[in-house]
Amino acid sequence: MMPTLPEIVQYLQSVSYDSALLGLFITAGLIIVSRDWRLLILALLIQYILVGVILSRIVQPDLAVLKVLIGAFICPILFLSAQQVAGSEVSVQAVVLPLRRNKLVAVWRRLGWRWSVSGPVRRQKLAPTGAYFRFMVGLLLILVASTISRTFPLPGLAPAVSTAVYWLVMVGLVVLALTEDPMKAGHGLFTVLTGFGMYYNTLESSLLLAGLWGAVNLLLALAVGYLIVVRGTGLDPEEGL
Amino acid sequence: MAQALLLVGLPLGVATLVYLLRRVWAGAMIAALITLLLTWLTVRLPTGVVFNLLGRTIELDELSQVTLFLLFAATAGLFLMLILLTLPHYQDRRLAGALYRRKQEARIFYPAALVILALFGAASLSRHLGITAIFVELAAILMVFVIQTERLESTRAALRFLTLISLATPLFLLAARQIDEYQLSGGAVLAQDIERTALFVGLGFAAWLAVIPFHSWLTSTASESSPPTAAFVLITFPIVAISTLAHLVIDLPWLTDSQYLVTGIIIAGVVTAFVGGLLSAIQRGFGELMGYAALFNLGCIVALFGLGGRAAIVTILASLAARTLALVLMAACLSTLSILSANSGFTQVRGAAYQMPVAAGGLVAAGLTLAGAPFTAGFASSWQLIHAIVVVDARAAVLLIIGGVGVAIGYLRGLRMMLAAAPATGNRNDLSARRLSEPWPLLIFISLFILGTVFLGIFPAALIDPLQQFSVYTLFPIR
Repeated sequence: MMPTLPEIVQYLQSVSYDSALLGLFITAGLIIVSRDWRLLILALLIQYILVGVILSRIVQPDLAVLKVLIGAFICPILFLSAQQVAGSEVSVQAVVLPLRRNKLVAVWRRLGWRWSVSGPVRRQKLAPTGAYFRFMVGLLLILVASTISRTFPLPGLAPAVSTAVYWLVMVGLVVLALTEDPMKAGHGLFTVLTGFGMYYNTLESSLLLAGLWGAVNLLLALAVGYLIVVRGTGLDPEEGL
Repeated sequence: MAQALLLVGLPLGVATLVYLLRRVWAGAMIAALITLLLTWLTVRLPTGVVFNLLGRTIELDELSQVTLFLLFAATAGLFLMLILLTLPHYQDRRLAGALYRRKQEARIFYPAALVILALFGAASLSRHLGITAIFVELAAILMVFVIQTERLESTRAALRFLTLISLATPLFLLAARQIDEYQLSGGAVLAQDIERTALFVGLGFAAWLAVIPFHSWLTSTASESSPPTAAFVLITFPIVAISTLAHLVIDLPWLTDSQYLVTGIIIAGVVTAFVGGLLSAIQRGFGELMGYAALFNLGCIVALFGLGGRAAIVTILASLAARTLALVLMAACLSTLSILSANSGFTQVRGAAYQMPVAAGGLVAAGLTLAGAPFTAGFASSWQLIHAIVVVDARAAVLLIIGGVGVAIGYLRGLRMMLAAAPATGNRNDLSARRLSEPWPLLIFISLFILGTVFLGIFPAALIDPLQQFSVYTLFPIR
């Protein structure tokens, strides 16, 4: 028998703040380190669910479910855009890789490590920082978020929730600072907005503002999706080479 | 009173029709006529509270009237310019290729600009900072499509614009939440609460007003987007931002009790103007130069805002009007020059002044207006700014003058290149090989704008007197 929505919410409410925070460390960590669009979108979706889990214990469950639903709409928009671009990237790689004559890179890619090391060819060239750098930045941000949340706790929130808000906002800002790729930057932007939303939803009870903010998030996803497709369509051969 | 809603409903309703007719001449004409109608309607409508929406006031006041007038007038000017640029030349084969891209962009621009105007109209009517911020955010999302249009080379400008504006919205929502709390509590606002709200508001407006270091959305939009769309973004967004900030300090005068806000606004304005002006002097193309000159001008307006005074509102509005005039003129001139060369780099427009002298002259006139040079529309407000800031800090006045000189140098460098003889390489795409001149409708359009900017430079009262009638009831709290 399928569980009802209240039963699901009740079950999710049993998840502790610390467990959800750990999950957010992992999902946002993946967003900062990974370059594979599938993994990025999956991490973002899980992030929305985890934020919904935390919110379900702080605000009205309806609002928490709404938050998850918005995430559930945003991720398919990004997925469809990225999928369209993925086709053009494959064709560029088919041209670029033989030209590079870099067998080692090709073998490495086939092993499926591209998400952690280089990403698609064109992104490899654009990225100013490596995976290890981003990993170390992620670890550093965990420390910074924990410290700031202890020094400047957000009013009316549990320490773990404060840490989660600071962590998400900081990771999002760092991702935005590190990349100009619409896919990755979009994930950074949504991570910042998720962190902010988690705090804001505990403060603001106005349905008008909550609804407008949800609409803004969905439209943002459309705009980011458009830029992802444009970037993919306008793939400059020189960039790839 | 509900007539004020026409300012939102009319462009929104007509946008659908314009979109359906975007491929034919009628779509552009309807868009231009509607914006002209809205321009007229804005100053004719009665002011006052329109109604309350879920406890939030919707109101049209004198300040909103002027800012909306500028928005609609600027857009009407840009629409007319695009019509003059593209429509009469369908049959001219030499121009068809050069104008193809502009026509494609215009098809997206007309309906999108109308929806953006509707959203800006809603933002201007709202007296709640959070709702205003959300409307502006919605407009910014739509602007991404206008900035990007059909360009495939780069998404940098659109992405930076979207990111920076989206990051400002949460700050405004938090500030609005705090303001609501103070208003509901009915008690005196504590000093620490003022500082916290001022911090959120200050950071949010810094992003909206492209204050250094949040300026990249403005400069990259100017350099990467086509001139009409860049001018649209550079005109409309700062006008709405300044209008919102003015409404905020007028409605909540206690915000100016903040120790840092007013000083911060002045410093941010001066630094932005100085850096913008300095960087203008070293640009290599008119597109980039447009961005940095607009940045300098915006910095001056922000500094004017921080300085305040009895005539602050009139001076700011005069400055915004001159900026609007200059940017529309600049867009018209750059669009005309794009017939000769798709790229507006100084090297590419070498010798253009001999084939398109009016467009070349208009470009320099617009640049000097943004710089606040004498005998241009920008001089009166620029003089007022220098006069006011010398009293506060003479060093800031020096920085502003250096910035203004930097902008002027940038445009004079461009003029020098346009006056240089184009190298004849035998390539058919070279300017020397293409005997093209300004289309005559645009010639008239640009000439009128040049005359307008010079006239307002010599007789500034023609601009200031009507603005005074609208802002006479507005009490500006920064003194």
